[in-house]
Amino acid sequence: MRDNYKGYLFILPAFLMLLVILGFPAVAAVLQSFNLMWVSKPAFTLRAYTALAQDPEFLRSLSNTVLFVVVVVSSHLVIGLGVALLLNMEVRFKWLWRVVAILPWTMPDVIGGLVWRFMFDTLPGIVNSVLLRTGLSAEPVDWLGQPDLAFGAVMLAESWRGYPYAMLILLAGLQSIPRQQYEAAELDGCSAFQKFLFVTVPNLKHMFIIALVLDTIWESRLFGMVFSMTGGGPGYSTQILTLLSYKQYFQFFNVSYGASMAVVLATVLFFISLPYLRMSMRQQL
Amino acid sequence: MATVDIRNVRKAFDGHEVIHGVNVLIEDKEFVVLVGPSGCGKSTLLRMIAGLEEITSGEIAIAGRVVNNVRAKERDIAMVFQNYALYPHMSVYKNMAFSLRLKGMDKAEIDERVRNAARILNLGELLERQPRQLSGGQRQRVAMGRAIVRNPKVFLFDEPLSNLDAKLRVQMRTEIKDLHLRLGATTVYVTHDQLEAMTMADRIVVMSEGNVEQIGSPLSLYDRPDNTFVAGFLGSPAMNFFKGEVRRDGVDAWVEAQGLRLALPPEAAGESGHAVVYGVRPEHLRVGGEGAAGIPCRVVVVESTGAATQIVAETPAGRITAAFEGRHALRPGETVPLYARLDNVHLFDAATTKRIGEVR
Repeated sequence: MRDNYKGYLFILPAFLMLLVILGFPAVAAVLQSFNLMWVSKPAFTLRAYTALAQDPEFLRSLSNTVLFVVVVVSSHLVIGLGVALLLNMEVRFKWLWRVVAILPWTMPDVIGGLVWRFMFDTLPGIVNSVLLRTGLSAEPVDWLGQPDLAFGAVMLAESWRGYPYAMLILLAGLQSIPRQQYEAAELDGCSAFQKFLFVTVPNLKHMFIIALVLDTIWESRLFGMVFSMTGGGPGYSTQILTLLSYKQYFQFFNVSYGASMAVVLATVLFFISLPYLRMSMRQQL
Repeated sequence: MATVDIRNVRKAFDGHEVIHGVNVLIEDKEFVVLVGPSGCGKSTLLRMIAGLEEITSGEIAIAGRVVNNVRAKERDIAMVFQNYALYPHMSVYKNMAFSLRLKGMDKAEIDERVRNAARILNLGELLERQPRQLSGGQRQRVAMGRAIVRNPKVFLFDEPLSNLDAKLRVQMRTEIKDLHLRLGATTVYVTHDQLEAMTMADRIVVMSEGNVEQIGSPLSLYDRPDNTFVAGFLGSPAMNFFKGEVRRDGVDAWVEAQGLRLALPPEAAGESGHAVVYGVRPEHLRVGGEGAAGIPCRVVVVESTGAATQIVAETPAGRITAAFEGRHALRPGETVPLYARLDNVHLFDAATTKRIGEVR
């Protein structure tokens, strides 16, 4: 019994750290959303939440976020799987290709956003420059000034910046598939595509779900890239939930309202992460 | 007639040759074991037969057809892997049926073949299970079932028992041998375990560093090893070796090894002064004997398994292992003379390590 207490003592510092860093802001956000903290007259109310349901700007941001996450996560998984398959092949200078493939992920998202903003710039931007020189476009396109184009540009930029995360998870999955399974499939008469279908895909399923869930959480929380690239504009066209929450909380000081958005997002993400949690619990058992 | 003819086969990886011109003719219905320490090239040779590894030079013919440029799936062979290589997402039934489905065989025939193989391997109850729900032995049987349903000309086994515990290994050894006798298919079996080789093979191919050291029946290899490598590799505990020189005095012959006088039969080959390696198996030593003086030994360890007793003892020329049937009242620290049975002594040339003439 004494030994048990000692064990708890060892994890106490880490537990306290987590409590302060993770626990406090989470609890604070929930309390603020119910108007119970850091307000002049604390009183429990659901006003922030009822207002959310009727706020067209919030609903627009929510649908923006859903569209953004669906498109970006899908492209991450497709690009990530493709690059992982290429990097898993026996090629010369493998380490070099791996370093190159991972570079986008090493770029801080704010910097990434700024770089893409310059690239999409109407006049000196490289995108327009290429389009004009090759004759694909007669005049410069205002990429970040038109709602649909701006949303597309942001999704393209984030697809580029974030794919290495999914790629790394899937590459680890690919490398853990025993070579003998491919050889058994070869002897069984599988073509290259059938090997992919009957060996790679089923063996990669768990890693795919992990990449899907973690990337969905990651992209739902994305802020810096969009903030630095468009700031949510033009209009509300690229405004995602995190930007709106930031705006309400830090610019308009609608503390309760801003916090309620964060709570809604966190709740949705919690449910999205359930399959992953269930899977990792099952693996531990 | 499913023979496997390996003719002067070489294999190089990045210019580095690992198999140096191997010749083996495996007869129809024969059970041949490729054995050797890790890195000797036995698995590479098997993989070349399977078509999973390209042949750098030489030829491999299966049932008379040269298969160098024939794809693995068209060689009419089946292979059982060390880690079973079952498809983790398919049931036992589907694992076994998979290759037949790919061939486009009709469902009724697939079903008949799978159920037949399941009956042979006692897998009937497990057909709907997933591989992760099976024990190691059961998985290995499914892997064999997957091979059997294809009714191949040649079965290839790549260290199939290495992942099993000792007891299961003995059981599966019997099952595989029994299966071979019932199916009568040509079988090539790779292992590093000399006991598996001795107990299962019709013929053993002993390999070392990419070369074939000797081919023959288990007992002929045990009785007449061609060189010190084969002599030391086959048999457990391993053969005792002493380096020395042949001495003759009239009809007496012996090997002088660091002050030890190791008796030889009078008809033993080797001129006086010939540098040799004297080999005697632990089971061919006994305590007490007649004729020449024995090997003076101080017992270091006594290991008794009930049915047999094994001792490790110190001699002036190094350690020696002896194995006796039944129980022995020897104790550590005791000094005893050990006598080699003269008709079971082996003599090898010290320079070439090759066997010298007939000792007996």
